[in-house]
Amino acid sequence: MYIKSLKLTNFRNYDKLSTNFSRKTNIIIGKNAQGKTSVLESLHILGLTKSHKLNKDRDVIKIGTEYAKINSLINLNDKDIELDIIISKIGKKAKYNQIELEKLSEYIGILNVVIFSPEDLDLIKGNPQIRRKFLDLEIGQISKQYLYSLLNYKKVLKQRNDLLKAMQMNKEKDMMLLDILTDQLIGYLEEVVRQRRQFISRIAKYTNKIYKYLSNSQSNLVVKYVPSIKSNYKKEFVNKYKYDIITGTTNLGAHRDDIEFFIDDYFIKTHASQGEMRSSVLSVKLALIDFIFEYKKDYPILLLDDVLSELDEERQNNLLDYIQNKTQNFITSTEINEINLKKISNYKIFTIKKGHIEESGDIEFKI
Amino acid sequence: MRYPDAIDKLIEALRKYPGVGRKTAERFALYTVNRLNDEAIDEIVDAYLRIKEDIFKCPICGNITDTDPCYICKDQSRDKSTIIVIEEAKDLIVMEKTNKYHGLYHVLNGAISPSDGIGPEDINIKGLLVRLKDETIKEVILATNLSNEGETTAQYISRLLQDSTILVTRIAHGIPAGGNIEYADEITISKALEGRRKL
Repeated sequence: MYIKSLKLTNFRNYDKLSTNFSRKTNIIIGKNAQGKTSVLESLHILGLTKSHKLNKDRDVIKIGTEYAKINSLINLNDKDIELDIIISKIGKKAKYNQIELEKLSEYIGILNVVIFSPEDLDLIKGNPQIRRKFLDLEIGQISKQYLYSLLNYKKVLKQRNDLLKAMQMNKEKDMMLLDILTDQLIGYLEEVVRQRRQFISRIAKYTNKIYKYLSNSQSNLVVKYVPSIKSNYKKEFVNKYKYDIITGTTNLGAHRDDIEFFIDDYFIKTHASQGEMRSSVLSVKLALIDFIFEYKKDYPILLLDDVLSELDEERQNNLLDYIQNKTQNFITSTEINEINLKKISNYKIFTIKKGHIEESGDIEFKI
Repeated sequence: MRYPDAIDKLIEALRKYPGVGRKTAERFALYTVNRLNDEAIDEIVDAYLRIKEDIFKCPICGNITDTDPCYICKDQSRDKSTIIVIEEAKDLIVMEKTNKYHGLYHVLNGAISPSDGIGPEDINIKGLLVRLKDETIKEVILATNLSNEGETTAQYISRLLQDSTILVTRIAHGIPAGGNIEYADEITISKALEGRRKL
C-alpha cells in the first residue's frame, strides 16, 4: 500500500496543501515550526483516525476555522481508493471512496501506518499507560475482534468500578452482582490478554533480529509482556473482592498490564543509554512493519519524524537498508545533508516553509 | 424580550421529552399559540389527561395497560407455563407481532447498570420472583437486550433461579434471518459460530 496524493484543508497551520508523493521515499525538509510534523500527523490520522501525539482530535483544526479535512488517494492491492477524514469540533467522520463509514472501527486498518518520532522514547521511559496505548493501537490495526473486546472490557470495567464505588459507601453489598460483572469482565479480558500475548511474542522475534542488525551487536533485545494476572483469572479476582470494595476500584486486569524491555539481562528503562533506548524503540517500530506484513501481506506506511539525524551514521545506514524496497517512507529533517541520500533509491524531496509545501527534486544539487 | 409566563411554562414542559432542546420546544410552543385553534388544543389536553387517568402498569407483568390485569395476563387461552422476560414494554409488542409465542411476559422496566445507578432492586425483578412462586411456570426465557447491561441482568436472574426447578433459557443471537453471511460483521459471525447448533 502507498499514498499517491494528499490534500489538507484547515489542518494545523495549513490553509490548503495539495501534493503528490513518491511511492518509495518522501523527504520533507524544513526548519522548526514550519509544519513538517503536521504532514506526518495528518498521515497518521488518515490511517488510525488518531494523532500520534497525546492531544484532542479538535486540536488539529486550524484556529479560526470550523473543521479540518484530510483527503487522500491511496493505492491498495493495485486499486486506487479515496480515503478522507473530516474532523469538526463535535466529532470526526471517516470516508471510504466518498462513502461515510458508520463506525470508525470499520475504517481503522484499511491504511496501516507505523510512526517513529522523538516522543516514542516514552514507550520505554514513560508510564505503563503509554505502553498499553501502544498495544491497543497496534493490535487494533489488524484485529477488529480486539477493538471490540477492548471497547467492551472498558465498558464493563466502568460498570464494575461504579458498583464498587457504591459498595464502598453502602452497608448492603450485592456480592452476586459483583461476581456477575467480574465474570463478564473476565470474558473480555481473556480475549484482550490472549491477543496482547500473541502480539508481543510475534513482534519479539522480529525485534531482536532487527536490533542486532541495526546496531551490529550480539546482544539480545528482549520484549516481555507483563500481564496484571498470569493465570487463574477468577481466583485472583475473588481474592481481591474485599480489597476492590475498600478501594472502590478494580485493582486487577488488562488496564494494569505492562511491557518490559531488556538488553540481555539489564532493564533498559533504568540501565540503558539514550542511544540504546532509541535503537530499542526503533527496533520495535520496524518489527511492526514485519508484523503487519505477516497479517496483511502488504507493508504499512512508515513515518520517520526527525529521527534520522539522531542516529549515528552506521545505524542510519542500517535503517535505510532495512526499509529499502519494503515500505513507502516519509522522512522529515531540518537539513537535507543530515540524510545519506546514497542509501535511498527513488525519492522525492519537499521543502516546507510557513505552511507551504514545494516539491524540489533537484535540491541536492543546490546544496 | 421574554415570552409571557404561560408560553415559558409550555416551553419548559416540552423540554422534558428526550431529544427536544430549547429551540425545538420554542418552535412547538409558538406553533401551539399561533397555529392551533382551541379545538386542537383541547384534543391534545384531553389525550394527555386520558394517558394520566387510563394508563398504568399491569400489576402482574409490568406491561403498559388500560385494564387490570393487562390483556395478556387476563387471556385464559395463553400458555401459563412459559414467561418471557424483557426490558421494555415495547419489546413485548415486537414479540407479539411474531405470532409465534403464546405464553406470558414479564417487563423489567430497565436493565441493571451500576453506572446509571440502576441496581437489581430498581427494576422489576422482585415481581418476577413472586410470580414464579405462585404460578405454574416451567420455563423462563430471558430476552433482555444482548448489550452488556442486558447480559448482566440475564445472568443475575438466572443465578437467582439456579436452585429452582424452572428451566432458564436465553434467546439466541447471531446472523439475522434472511441475512447474507458476507454482509455480517466479524463480531456477529463469531457470535453466531459460538451459538451454532446440531442439525
